[in-house]
Amino acid sequence: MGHNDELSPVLQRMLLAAEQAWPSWNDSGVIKRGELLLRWANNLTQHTTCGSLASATVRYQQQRALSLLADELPLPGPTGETNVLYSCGRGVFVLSAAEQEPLTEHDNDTMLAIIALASVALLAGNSLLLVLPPRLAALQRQLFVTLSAAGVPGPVVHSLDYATLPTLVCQLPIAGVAYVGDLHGGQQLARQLADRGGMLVPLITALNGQVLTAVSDEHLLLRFIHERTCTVNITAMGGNTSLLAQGARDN
Amino acid sequence: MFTALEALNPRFIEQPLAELWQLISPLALVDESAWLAQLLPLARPSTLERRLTQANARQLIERVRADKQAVQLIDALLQEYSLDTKEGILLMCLAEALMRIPDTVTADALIRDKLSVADWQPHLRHSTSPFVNASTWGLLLTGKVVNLERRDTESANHTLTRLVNKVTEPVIRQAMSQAMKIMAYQFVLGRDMQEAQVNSQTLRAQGYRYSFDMLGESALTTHDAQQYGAAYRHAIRAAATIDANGNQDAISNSTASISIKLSALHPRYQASNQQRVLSELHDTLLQLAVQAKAWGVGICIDAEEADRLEISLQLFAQIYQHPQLRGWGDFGIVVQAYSKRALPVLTWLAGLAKQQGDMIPVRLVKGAYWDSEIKLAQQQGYAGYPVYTRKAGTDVAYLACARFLLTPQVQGYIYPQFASHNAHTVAAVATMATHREFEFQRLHGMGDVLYRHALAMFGVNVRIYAPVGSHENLLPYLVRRLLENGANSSFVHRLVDSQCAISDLIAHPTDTLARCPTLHNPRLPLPINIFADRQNSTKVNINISSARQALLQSIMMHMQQIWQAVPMIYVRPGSSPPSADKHVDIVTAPYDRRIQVGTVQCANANQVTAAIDSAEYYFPTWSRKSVSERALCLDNMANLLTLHSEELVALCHLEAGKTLDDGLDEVREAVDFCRYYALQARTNFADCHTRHCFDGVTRQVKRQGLGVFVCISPWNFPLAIFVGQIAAALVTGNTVLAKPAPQTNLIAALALQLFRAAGVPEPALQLLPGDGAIIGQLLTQDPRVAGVVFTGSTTTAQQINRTLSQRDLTQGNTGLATLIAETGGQNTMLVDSTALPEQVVQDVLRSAFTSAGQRCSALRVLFVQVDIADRILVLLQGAMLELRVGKPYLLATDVGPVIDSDAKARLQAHIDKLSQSGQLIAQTPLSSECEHGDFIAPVAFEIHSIKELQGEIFGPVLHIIRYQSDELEGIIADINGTGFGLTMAIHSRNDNHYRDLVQRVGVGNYYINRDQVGAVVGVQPFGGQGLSGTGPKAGGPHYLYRFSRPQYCGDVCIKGSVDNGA
Repeated sequence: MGHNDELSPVLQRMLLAAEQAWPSWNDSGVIKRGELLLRWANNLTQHTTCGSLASATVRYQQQRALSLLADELPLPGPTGETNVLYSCGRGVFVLSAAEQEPLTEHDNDTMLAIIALASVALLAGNSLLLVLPPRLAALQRQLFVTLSAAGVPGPVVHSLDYATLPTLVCQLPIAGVAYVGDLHGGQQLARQLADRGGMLVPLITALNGQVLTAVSDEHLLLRFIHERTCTVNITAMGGNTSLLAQGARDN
Repeated sequence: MFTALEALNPRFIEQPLAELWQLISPLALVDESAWLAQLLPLARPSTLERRLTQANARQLIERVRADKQAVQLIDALLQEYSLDTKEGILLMCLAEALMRIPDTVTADALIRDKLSVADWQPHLRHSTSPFVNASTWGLLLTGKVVNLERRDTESANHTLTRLVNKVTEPVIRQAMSQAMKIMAYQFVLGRDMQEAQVNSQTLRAQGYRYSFDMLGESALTTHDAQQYGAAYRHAIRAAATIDANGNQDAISNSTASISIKLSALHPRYQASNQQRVLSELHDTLLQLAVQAKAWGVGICIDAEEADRLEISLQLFAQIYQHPQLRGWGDFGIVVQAYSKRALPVLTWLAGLAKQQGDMIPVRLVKGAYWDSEIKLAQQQGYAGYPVYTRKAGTDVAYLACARFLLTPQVQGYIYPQFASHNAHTVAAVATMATHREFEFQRLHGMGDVLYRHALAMFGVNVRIYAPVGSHENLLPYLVRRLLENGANSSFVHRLVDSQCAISDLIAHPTDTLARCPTLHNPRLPLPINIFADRQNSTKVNINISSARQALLQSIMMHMQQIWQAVPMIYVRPGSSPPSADKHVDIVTAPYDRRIQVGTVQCANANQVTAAIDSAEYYFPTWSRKSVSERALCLDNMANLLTLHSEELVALCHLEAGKTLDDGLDEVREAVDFCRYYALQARTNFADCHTRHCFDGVTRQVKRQGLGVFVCISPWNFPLAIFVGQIAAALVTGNTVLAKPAPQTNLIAALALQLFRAAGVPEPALQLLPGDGAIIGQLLTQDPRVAGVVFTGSTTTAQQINRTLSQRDLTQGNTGLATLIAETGGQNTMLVDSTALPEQVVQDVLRSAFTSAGQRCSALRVLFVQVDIADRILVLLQGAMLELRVGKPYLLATDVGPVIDSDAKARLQAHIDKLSQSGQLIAQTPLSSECEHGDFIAPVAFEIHSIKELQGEIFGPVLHIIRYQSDELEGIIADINGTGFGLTMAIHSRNDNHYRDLVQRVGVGNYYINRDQVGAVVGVQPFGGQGLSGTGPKAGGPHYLYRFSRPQYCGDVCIKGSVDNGA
């Protein structure tokens, strides 16, 4: 069940704006989104403490998005129909992280994982709510500002107070949650998501000890999308002209 | 087996009729090249015949080309707008749909849609025909109001778009409709028989004969069939050459004939409905034939799809041999030369006529359903095509058949009627013939000039096949004619194309075919080979008797078996085997609860624990096995499933109530899953590959299984999904605990045995039959389970998700579990007024009622634009009354039972409720055959809003909503508002319209202008969004990744500069 009554009017408006923004963001296409995020990658080089790595993270994901999502995939099948597989964003994603400093990770790994997950969520065509703990408040501000400066439309990315997280993930418009941190925190989120009812919301985690492994998975993007297929009976309006031409050919 | 040359033996047709009959069916799927090699000698002319044929053909073509009337209006049109061009196809699309659209808004939108996307520039002032030249096609006819002068700076597209926008829409619409009608009536002799008689007088006086064809396609309802029957009766009377006083027609002393399409006379004219065809349709046809004989009118039974060939011949023989018709000699039939069975059909017909001692008129055509025959064979995975794959192959077969028809031993028994517009074919037949007891046939509106000269040259009889009917009924006929003749490659096109050398036109088909590298067309791979990288699954064509008999016998034999399912557990070394429960559940057949199918022993808690222990223990071993080894198990499994298909189909009948067609499709899907996932694994999972990561480190990465996977499968696809889930989990390196639906444990147990026989080790795959609430709970709460793949209800998926999230992860080693869930849907179909009602209704029946509506993808809510709703509802009503609900193993059964009494009660409660609040449209009757089973008759209700439905109704219940075209916004919001997003079908000829809907309605699988069930593995990956599932799509290229994770294999390599993404 949703808990809209527990969200402040400001947050409700923010959530609504993110929800309304994602269709056009999604429709803008992977190439366009990739261009904006490359611009963001360039900005990150100058702004973050691990600039070049952060930038490389985004570039890597942009390349993966082009490879995995940019084109419709034609699927072979019987003559007389076309079949394509393509993707679209899931909707509004929450990005969060553990409240406590990880003991096992390198200092930069958490930050890189967050940047990776933010870029993947956006490249896939989702709106993004940044809900990072206070220890990462500076990063959250920086991400929000730099994404905006890169040209990512305002309503697509929002920066929210960490205290709203438990309430936020229970809201029906939330289509997915990405999390960097420990197993315990991940499980807490999983339980909250499971308890909320409605659709099954994916929880994508980069857990301590495997943070970089998780975010460098070549197929991470697939967790942030819906797959769609479209089958068109191209002979409905008559017959199969191209097949007829093929049959008429002698050689 | 039939040998082609033997057909020329004068005594061949003297064989007993039953023996000649037996030769027909096996040729349906004969090897094409081998068979054509046999036909070539029959078609090949002697040196003299060749020389004469060429000379005749050359002379005929020269005369036609010299004739100023050769290029008529319609030919000019087809030349300019050939179907090899985008514009030609767009205009054909308009022709197909425009005239039936009742509302102006939709018609205008369709015109805009079609006219605005093609390049019309090359067509402006290109043709020499006054009809075509002045402007783009239809707009020409509004010359009074439209000035097509183009600005030099403006593209043709812009010109047209400007015109479409500038000129008032009613004017454009009227012009386009008029253009369509003008084109259509080139092919139609009259709107009714009276008009046709008047219009045919001139040519009849010149000696031409007529065969009248009542326009109209297959009847879906008894009412429509009766109407067609009345039309045929009327036509016979109107075509009578004998008046009421028994005097001969004054104009012509030759018999006119009526061509009859059997599919128009009975709503279930199919091989599967043999009994009805040979009784009900028989009676109707006999009545017409007796009437025709009395009035001196011939009857010709039209040929239709290949699947109907055998049943049509059986019916033909019954009527032909009827005592009232013996000695008539005017009851004829059409034979299609593109059919591999054509020659043995002709020998059988000759034998039939000889036995009875009178004449059968036989029209030899090349065949008009070629493209749909190829498509159907590929879709169904048949062993071969029923037709030739090269045009030259058909031409050769035509001449081979002609040779047989003109042999002396056939003379007097068959009256050959050669239908062709090919000058070479005409010349070849005329040259081949040693007598004049035959005729040529041409279509009205085509080949006028060709046959005028042929008549003069050869002095032969010519009959004109003349469609009669109103414009509403001519569209499908028109499209067939356009397809036949509209392409540049068609003979009709080339005949009047002076650029095409005569020597090319008079090449003998035997030479043309012999020059080909292969006699069959390698560009059209056999259905089993349509996928480049894996085998397609195969299916027996149950419409071909020789194939059907063996299949049915084998299935019936297996239906006598009693089946058993028990937990199939591996006890790890050092552990004690857990004790099994003694209690067994009796399994009965859903279609008759008195029939005992087998017994099931459920797993208990100890067995579940032992199975998890073993699966965990064996995981490292299994995951270390090579991908090729694991994939080989799936390939073996695919072969075993194929080998055991009859047994599996029998069990699908018995335990799941699946019909024959559903059972066969079930096995095919399971086979496809195995082969597809094996291929995917080999391609993407086999090797370590080098990855240059963003941190500048180059790593060796390989994908690895997650651990112990629980596969919880549904009863509605008890084999396909059961096998598919397990195959995916196993091939990616997981060990599997399979928990099938409690309703279908027996099928699961048989499948599991096959997996083991395929080489899957016991601890890698274990079976835990039992109740979901008990066994499912025990499995999903165990922290050692790394993943769950589930197909079933949304509620159960949510419960599993909750259980997984509550696990104590300190006890396990797997972390957060993966859950892949595929759940229900509130699936819709949107039909606008451009759609073809007959096609819509067929797709609705299949989408809503196949498998008794028990498919995740099944249609639940049909939205119909109000402008055509009445027609669609009437058709649907009539068609639903023709469905047969009953024993699933019978060929004639369309709809089997629902799965159990609980499902029946739930569905009945919903129907009872709707009976109060909704408007009943139709309900299929249930026969007494259903009284001992769990049957729900297909039912359709009209409701006001999709919001009236609370969740998914998983059964044969269709809800229908009418909508106005301006209400679409609300409908889109309502559909999205259900939260489900699995399948949606759209019936619309307007490309922009359906693309817009696809963009705005969120579902996983869209189907345009077809039904929405039967997704094929690797072709239509299946799965939805929202309440309909988590993704990824089963049977898609991304599915296996969710069963695995990347793992570094080997050493981390060189750390270089940070990857810049270049």
